[in-house]
Amino acid sequence: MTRRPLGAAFGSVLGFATALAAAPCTATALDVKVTSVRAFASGPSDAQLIGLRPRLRRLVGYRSFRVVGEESRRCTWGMRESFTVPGGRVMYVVPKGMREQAVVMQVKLLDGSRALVDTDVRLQNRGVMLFGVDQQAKSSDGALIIMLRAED
Amino acid sequence: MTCDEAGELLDAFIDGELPGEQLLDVARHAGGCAVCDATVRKLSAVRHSLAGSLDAEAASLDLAGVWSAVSSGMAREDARRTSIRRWRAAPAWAAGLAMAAGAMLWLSTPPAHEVQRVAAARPRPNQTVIDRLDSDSARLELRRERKYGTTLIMVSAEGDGQ
Repeated sequence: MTRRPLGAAFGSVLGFATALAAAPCTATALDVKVTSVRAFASGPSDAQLIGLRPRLRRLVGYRSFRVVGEESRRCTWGMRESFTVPGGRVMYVVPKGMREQAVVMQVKLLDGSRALVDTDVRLQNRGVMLFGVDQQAKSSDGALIIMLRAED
Repeated sequence: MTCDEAGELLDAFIDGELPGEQLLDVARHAGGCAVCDATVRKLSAVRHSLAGSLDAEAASLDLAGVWSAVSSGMAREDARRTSIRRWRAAPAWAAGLAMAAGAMLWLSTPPAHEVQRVAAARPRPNQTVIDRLDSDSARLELRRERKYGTTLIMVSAEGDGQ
């Protein structure tokens, strides 16, 4: 007599748990692209950066830009994703949510155990923000520019 | 000017970012050097094709909604001017009475509609708001570009020595 209600209750709990587990997989993706660019004082630039070049020059101060790495990943909200950056560095991105057409996320750029940048930002959806790592000791080495693009 | 020297400046030459004297030097060199001339033409072609694709995108935009908004705005403006003309034609005592009534109404009404008129500024494509920023780097600099709102967080690879 009591087995049927118990079975039904167990079934409904199982169904609810399955639905709950499946829900984040359907509408929780954020496309993140991390492009590493080496900036130099002079020399040619990569053709794919031709549209960005004047803006990069104004912001960074260098004149020549070459792509040295690119990584695109579909990230899950709330989950930390790591992107490899030249020079043995790692960029961690934790997408937290959307607010007024902006992607809210935590971004951490690590050089070994040292956090070069640890920030909480709101980046316009489909927008790009930049992180620059300058080599002060040897200016001839130029700088490393990391372009972070996020699209919901 | 040698080909190497010109080569360093070709990108800036194409972008029109060189100062006048250097611009002339590069142009003179490219005029007499087939290799540099070919490079300039190639870079110009890439730039033009990029500009062309942007123009095509702009041309494909549907601006039908814009015209209807402009049209309704013009209609509102016409109606406003007509009503002003009517007011001017009215006798002075009627105009004074109407102004007094308007002033009474304005003073007794809370300015709720004023709040609605404040439209939020349209965000720029790369607009970034930084809620928190920490760094172990010896140097931390924040730079912003106005047109697109692009933000750069610049740090140095060297530590702060702590």
